[in-house]
Amino acid sequence: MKLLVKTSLYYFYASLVLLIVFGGLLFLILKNDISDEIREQLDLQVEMISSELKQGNTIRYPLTTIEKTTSVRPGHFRDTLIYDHYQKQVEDYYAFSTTKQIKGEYYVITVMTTYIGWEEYFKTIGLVFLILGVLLLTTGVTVNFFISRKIWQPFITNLASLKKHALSSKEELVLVNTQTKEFEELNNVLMDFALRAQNEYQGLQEFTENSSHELQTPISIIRSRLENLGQMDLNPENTRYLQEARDALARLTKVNKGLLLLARLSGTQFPDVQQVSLSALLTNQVQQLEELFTSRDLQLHTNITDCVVDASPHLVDILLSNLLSNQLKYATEGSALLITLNNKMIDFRNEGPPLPFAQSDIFNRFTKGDPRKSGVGLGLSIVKKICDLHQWGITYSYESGVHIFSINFTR
Amino acid sequence: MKVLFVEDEPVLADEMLGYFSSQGFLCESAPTFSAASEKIESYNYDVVVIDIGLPDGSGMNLIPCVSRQNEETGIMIVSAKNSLNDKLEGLNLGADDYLAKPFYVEELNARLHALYRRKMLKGNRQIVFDDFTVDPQSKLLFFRGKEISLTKKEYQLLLYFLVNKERVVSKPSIAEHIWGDYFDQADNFDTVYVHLMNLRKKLTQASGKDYIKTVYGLGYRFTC
Repeated sequence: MKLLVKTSLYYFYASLVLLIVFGGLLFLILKNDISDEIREQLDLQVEMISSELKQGNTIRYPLTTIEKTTSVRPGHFRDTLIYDHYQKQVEDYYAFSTTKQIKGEYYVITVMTTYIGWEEYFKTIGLVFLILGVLLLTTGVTVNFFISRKIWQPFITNLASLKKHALSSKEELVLVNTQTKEFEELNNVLMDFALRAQNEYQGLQEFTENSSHELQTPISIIRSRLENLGQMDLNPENTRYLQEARDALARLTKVNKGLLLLARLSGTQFPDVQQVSLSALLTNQVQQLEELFTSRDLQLHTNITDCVVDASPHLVDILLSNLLSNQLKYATEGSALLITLNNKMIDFRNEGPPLPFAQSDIFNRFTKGDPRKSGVGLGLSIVKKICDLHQWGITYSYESGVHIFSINFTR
Repeated sequence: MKVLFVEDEPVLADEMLGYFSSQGFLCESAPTFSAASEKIESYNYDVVVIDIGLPDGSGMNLIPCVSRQNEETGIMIVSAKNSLNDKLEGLNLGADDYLAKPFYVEELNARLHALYRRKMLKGNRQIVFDDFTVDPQSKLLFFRGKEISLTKKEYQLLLYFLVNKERVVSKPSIAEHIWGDYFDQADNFDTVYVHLMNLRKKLTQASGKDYIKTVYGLGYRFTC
C-alpha cells in the first residue's frame, strides 16, 4: 500500500471516530437542552391554566385535558402518541400531568406539546456531520496529497536514481538534496553505502581483470615454449607429456579468457554499439560451422527472418557462437536442431538428455553438463551477461526431451 | 621482409625472433618504448609488431610514429589485454591488424604475411611452390597452369601451411586459424583432420607428392 494511501486511511479513521463521538455528544446535549426548555414551557402552561381556572374562566387550550380527582399525585412527564388527522400519521407528543388544588378541589391538568421529533433531529445532525465529514476528508486528503507529494518528491526522485544506479558504472550516485532531516540522513547513508559497494565491486572487477591479464603473459610464454618443444624430435612418451601439457594449457587459456571477458562485461560499456543485422551474423556463423554439425551427424534447420538490433557486433558474435557451440556439444548425435530468428526473438532448440544439475544453475559459472566435454563452463554465463548488457531476456527450458534457449529482444 | 618486434617480455621476443628469422625475415626487437621509437625513426621496416603494454609507455603511441615514418609500413598490434577498446583505438590510430595474447606464432606469421602481401606487394605477388602456384588475389590454386578447385577452408589451410612451411603445426592452432579463437573448437579436431586429408589428397593427386606429414600426437608438417 502506498504511504499516501496509508496516511489518508488513518486520517479517515480518526476523523470518523471524532465525527461520530461529537455528533453523538451534540445530539445528547441538544436533546437535554430542548427537553428542559419543553418542560419549562409545559410547566408554565399548567401554571397559566391553573390561574385561569382560579379566576373561573373557561379553558380552551388545545391538547389540554382537565379532570377532577380526589387524590393528589405529583407531576410527571411522559411520552405519548397522538393521531394527527391533518397529516394522517401518528406523532410523538410530550405530556405533563400534575394535580392542582383550585378552590378546594383537585384537578389533574395534562398538557402536551409535540416533539420536533428526535428522529428528525438525529437525521439532520447526522446529515450535517456526514457533509462535514466528507468535506473534511476530501480537503484533508487533497491537502495531505499535495503536501506529501512535495515533501516526498525528493525521496521519489532519489529512489528512481537509486534504481538506475549500477554498481558496475564508474559514475557516483547523485541524490537530490532535501530540507527534510530524515531524508537528508537517508541520503547520506545511501551515498556512503553506494560508494563503498561500488568501490568493493570495482575492486573485485579489477582484481579479476588484473589477475587474468597478468596470467596472459606467462601463458603466452608457456605456450610458445611448448610449441617450440613440439618442433623437436620427441619419443612417444615425451610426445604424450607435451600433448597433455598443451591440453591443460588450452583449458587454462580458455578459463582465463572467459573470466577476463566476464569481468569486462560487468565493467564498462562496450563502445561499438550499432545497428547489427542478427540475421546476417547468424547466417554467416551457421555457414562457417555447417561442417562441424554434419561431422556430428546433426541436421541444422534454420528459420531466419530479418532482424536488426542495436547491439555490439563483437558481443553478438560471441553470443551466437557460444549458443551454437553449446548445441554442437550437447545435442544427441544424429538428431535435428532448430534455430528460429525473427525481429522479436531468437531461439535455439536441440534434443538431448536432461540436465544433471538444477535448471536454475544453467547460467552459473563453471556449471558443466558433462565433465568429459571440453568446455570450461563459462560459455553460458557469458551469454547471460551479454543478454543482460543489452537488456534482453534469456530463458532456458526443457520440454519433452528438447533444450530450448530463447532470447527476447523487446526490452 | 624486415620486421621490428616491440616486445618487453624477453622469452616472447626471443621466440618470435627465433621463428621469424628461420622463416627468412630480417628481424629486430625492441624491449622498451624508447628503444622502439629510436629504431622506428632510424630504420625502415616492412612490418612493425607492437605490444601495447610496455614498461615505459603505451605501444599505442608508437603507431603514429610508424605511420609518419613510412605510410606503407604494416602495423600489427599484439596485446595481453584482449580488449575491444584497445583494438578499436589501435585500428583507428592506423594499425592494420590486432592479435590477442596468447597467440600461436604460426597465426602471427600468417597475419604478417597477409599484411605484407596487402600493403607492400599490393596483393599481386603469386606464391609458388614446386609446380604449384597460388594466386592470393583470386584465391585460386594452379598446378602447371591448370586450376585445382579448393574449398574456402582448404584454401585457408593451404595458405596457413605455406607460410609455416617445415614447422609442426598443431591441431588447435589450425582450428583457431580457421574457426576463430572464441569458438570452442576443442571437439572439432576431427573436422580439421577431414579438411586436411582432402587438401592432402588434392595436392597428391595433382603432383604425386605427399606434402603434408602427420607428426604423431603433435600436429602436421608441410614440406616442399
